[in-house]
Amino acid sequence: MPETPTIPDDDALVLQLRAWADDLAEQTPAAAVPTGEHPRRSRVLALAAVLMVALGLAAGALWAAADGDPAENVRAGTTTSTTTTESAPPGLPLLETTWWLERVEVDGEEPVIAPDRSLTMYLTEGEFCSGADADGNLEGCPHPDAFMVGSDACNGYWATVEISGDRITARPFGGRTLMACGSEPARVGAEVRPIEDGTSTFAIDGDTLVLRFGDWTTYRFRAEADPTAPVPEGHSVYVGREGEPRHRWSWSRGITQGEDVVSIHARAFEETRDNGVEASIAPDAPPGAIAAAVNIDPVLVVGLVDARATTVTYTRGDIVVEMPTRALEGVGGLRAFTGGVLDAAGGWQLVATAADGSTVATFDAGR
Amino acid sequence: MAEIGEEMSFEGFVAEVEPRLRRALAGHLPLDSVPDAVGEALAYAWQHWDRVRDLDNPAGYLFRVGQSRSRRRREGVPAGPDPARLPEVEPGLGPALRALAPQQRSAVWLVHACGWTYAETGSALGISPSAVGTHLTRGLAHLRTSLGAIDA
Repeated sequence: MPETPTIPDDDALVLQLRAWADDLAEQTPAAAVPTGEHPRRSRVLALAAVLMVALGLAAGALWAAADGDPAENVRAGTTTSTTTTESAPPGLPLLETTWWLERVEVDGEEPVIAPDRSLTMYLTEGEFCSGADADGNLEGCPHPDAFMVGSDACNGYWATVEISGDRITARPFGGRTLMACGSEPARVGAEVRPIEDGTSTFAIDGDTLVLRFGDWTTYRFRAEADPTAPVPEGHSVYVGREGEPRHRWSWSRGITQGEDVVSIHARAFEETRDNGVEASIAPDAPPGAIAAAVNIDPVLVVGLVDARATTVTYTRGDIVVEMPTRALEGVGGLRAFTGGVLDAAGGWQLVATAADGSTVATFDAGR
Repeated sequence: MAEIGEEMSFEGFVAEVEPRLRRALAGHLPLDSVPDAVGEALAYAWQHWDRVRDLDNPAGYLFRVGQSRSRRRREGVPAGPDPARLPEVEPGLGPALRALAPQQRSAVWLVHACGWTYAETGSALGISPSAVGTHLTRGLAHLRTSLGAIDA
């Protein structure tokens, strides 16, 4: 394999590409840099801010001063340290970083140490629908909030949250699974509830995130972010449906990039009045096709499907339920569907069809 | 490229890397977001200087950092050559490039518009040099088909 291009330098297409690249580079301001030796790590924040200013960037959005608006580090790396700027390294962004719980500290009690860092928390932006009407049309969307999802070694939790300044407040649209997992739940797992229900203040210092609930309880998370890992891009959409009786939820998530579906996922769970769980299905669907989640007894169906599909048909034996898909404003590549059926003990299938009757995708239970 | 070692200053590093990084990202981002992406990548290099200065292909690595940290990168490549500035360049080059698959587009841009080697391009894209060659061949073929009038 040659290490240099085999296309001649005088190739007309190559020459035009280079001319265009020359022009683009010329139009983009060059970076100015600080001079002298590289500073100690403890001075990184202050000098990086100098670099940003020199570059003519919106430095405030990236490198807030220690006493700046904590909201500024929701999306970009900075710190909310309340000590001194000199001692605080840049922090990871709150959103789109996977945070692993290391310990829970309750005033006056021995800290609870997460034994295997199994509890995670991940926040991202997206478009959220809180439910569907009797005709299956989604309603209550969008909520201009962030979405929080996480899990421990057994169960998952999720919530829509409002992030304001240094506060994270969970909205009612959320919940958790309560599956029995074959062993006594770890105490750390049981401590999820304040995260999904409560209001906390957050502070990020380097790779550490601290959530404080009141004056008494502190959750300390740590992240190890890969700087080259792609940030989920495109448009995220979450679709949820609440069923009857209470506390029955399904939700699904899709990410589009232009008209391409790059990620699609669905989960359903059921929490009965006595907090027992009868079923939980969390299938991962192949990208670009269909994702659906179905609860059992009674059945809720919610999902996202490739935008070519106009109808999704649920079939189990003689039971056939057709669910029209619904376009999501501003979201390319995906349509949502939701509905209710009476029986889904197993062996159900979803078939997505286009307007011309052709099959777009199928989804089988148990896959 | 100057040798990157213990003695190399960050200033010298930026002088070497920043123009290449800016040119590479200019083909992947809207023009007004390129400074942000370059700035984020260089800030990352500054923050992790001990590690970055020892990389074999720091420009490629920082290209990935700049891309991954740009919130607007999904908007894709610039609209196209400005006919007023570049009357000799085919105006359809931008749309044709944008229509390529992402890996093909990146391979064409980094190798032919930026002059990166296959190895450098592969390192930046996380693929092998031979895969770069494959994407390049297919990408150029698509471009020639789209543009028609531009022949080798």
